[in-house]
Amino acid sequence: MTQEIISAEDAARYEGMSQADLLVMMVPEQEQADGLYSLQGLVERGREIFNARLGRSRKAVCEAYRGIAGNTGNSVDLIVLLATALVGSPALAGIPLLAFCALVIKMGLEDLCQ
Amino acid sequence: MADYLWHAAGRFQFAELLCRLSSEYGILPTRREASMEELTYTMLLASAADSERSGTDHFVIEQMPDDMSDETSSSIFHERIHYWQYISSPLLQRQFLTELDRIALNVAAAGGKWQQLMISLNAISDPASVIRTHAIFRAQNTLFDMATARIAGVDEVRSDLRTLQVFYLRPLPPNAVTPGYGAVMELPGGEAAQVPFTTVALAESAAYVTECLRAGRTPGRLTGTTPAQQRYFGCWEYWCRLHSRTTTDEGVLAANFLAAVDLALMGGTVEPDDEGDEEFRQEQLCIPYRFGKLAFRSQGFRLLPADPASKQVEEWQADFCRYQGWPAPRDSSAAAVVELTRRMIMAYGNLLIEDGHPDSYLTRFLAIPAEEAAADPRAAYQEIWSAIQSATLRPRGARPIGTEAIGVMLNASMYRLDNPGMFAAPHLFGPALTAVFPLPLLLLHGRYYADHETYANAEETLKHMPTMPYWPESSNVTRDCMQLIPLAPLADGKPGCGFFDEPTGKARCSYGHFDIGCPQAGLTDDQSRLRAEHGIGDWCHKKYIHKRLHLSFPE
Repeated sequence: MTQEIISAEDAARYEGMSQADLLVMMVPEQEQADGLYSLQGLVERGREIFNARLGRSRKAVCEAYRGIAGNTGNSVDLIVLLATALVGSPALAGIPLLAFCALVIKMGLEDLCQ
Repeated sequence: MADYLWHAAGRFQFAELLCRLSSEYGILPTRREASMEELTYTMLLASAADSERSGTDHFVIEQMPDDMSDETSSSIFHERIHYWQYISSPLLQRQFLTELDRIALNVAAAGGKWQQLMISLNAISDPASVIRTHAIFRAQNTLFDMATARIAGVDEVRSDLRTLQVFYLRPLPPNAVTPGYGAVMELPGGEAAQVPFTTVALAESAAYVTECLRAGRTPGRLTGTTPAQQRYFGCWEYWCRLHSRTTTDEGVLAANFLAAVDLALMGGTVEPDDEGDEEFRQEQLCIPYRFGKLAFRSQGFRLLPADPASKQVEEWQADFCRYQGWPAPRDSSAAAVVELTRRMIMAYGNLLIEDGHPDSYLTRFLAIPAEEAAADPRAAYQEIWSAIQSATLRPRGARPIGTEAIGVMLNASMYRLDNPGMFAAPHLFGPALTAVFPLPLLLLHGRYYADHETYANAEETLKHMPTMPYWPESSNVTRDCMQLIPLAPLADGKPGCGFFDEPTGKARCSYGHFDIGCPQAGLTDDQSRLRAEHGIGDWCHKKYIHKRLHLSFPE
């Protein structure tokens, strides 16, 4: 399994992307390369995978969030800190971790962990 | 009102001819129809127990609930376009057939009964050829980064922003390459976007443009380098830039783009292992190569008007083929009719003999030279088609897996011959095409649905297609899909089940939806208890197919 390198530069790039583009990134590369989707279908497939992975990792995500909450108000830093805390989480294996974290933060960590 | 509509978006899986729907937001149809949910659950428990006892597979097909959102309807139309592309285009039909051959090879390797699959004559005797052909078709299908290929040539296109058509040689392990074309395009911000003209890129761009035309919207243009931009807008953007000196009328550009993509998916008049002129062979078999040639040469060719009549599309495609020195689309479709008819004769051989036809009767039709049959397929084959039609009308044992799908492809190829030009403009002929070729199966959250726009049973088929060679019952085509889904991972030599979705870890079948459990993924105590209580044991769709193919279960 390849390990994703966590960099502030990549985090800033993901932070600048739309939710739809980030959701598309949840779809495995091979599935994207082979699959035929409607435009919204690709986004929805990403949402399906994101929701399933979030369901399995919610406890770890929220624990990590509580550990870093208040450390920074900068969302790029938040993405990096959250990703660093979640590295190696089995529930998130095989998906791009930084993009996942960027999505979690864009969707609202506080609401998610309430 | 909008709050009460249900939403889903689709994807089409060509190896199973399946439209999978995702719905992770808004109101689900299942929530709208609670009574149907309960009824379907009760029926599943009863039919699964019956399947466990009898060894035959049962499943419940529902009608799509009403109150679908416009976006959902549009998304399903998009997937129908892909279905029509795959069943009617010779090169895409071949991709489907090669997937079946590849599955059969792996079934044979596992000691299973490969004869239960509808495969090519040489699939088992010449596995190397099957593996090579499968790899070639897969390589021309998938999107990839052109930086990983060897760039063997570059042509500059005159356009406001820098635009290149590149010729690449893509490595194909262990020691082959496959050629193709793609485009590299400068964007207004200075970034460069790339798109190889693979089947996925072409089919998606064409379906997207068609969807826009049907809805009366102007198709969007390429503005970024994300995978979605590349997929939907890449080939379309290139086409627009290529012809920007001739016209900026988007209706004209779209009509010509759709006719060109449709023509790129034709071809197939030679075999992958044929000797002869290499360039012509690639033009006939390799979609990314074929489209590149077609696109570049189309700069010197006349353009179709916006919203052309089907006759105009037919003439444009035939004239272009003459200009390019290619066989006309008619020849490609006729060659497909010959190949598919031969396969159907093989599939129905035993039944035809049971019906009193001697071996020599079958041999007579199989021995008609391909060129002679292609000149007038109806004259050559009407008699054997009628014999097969009669055989389908009596209840019989199961046909090889894939037979019904191939029957539909045979019909689609004849439909192309009888109605040329229609498949290249589905936004103009959508209702007619949907009535004749509805999606065989839609899968949403583990429930199985018929295409909502039409119900094509044998009577409907007869009404719409009095001249079609094969009379498939819609339920049989659906059954074919249901058998192909669990088998799909075998094409890549993978264990597991096509109903089990690895990225989400969920079984996307009725057993998963109703929490009866997936034997492949492992049953919980509650699921085992429920199954024992209802006499379901470890039954599921995958177990049926493994029994049929004499494979061990679970693997």
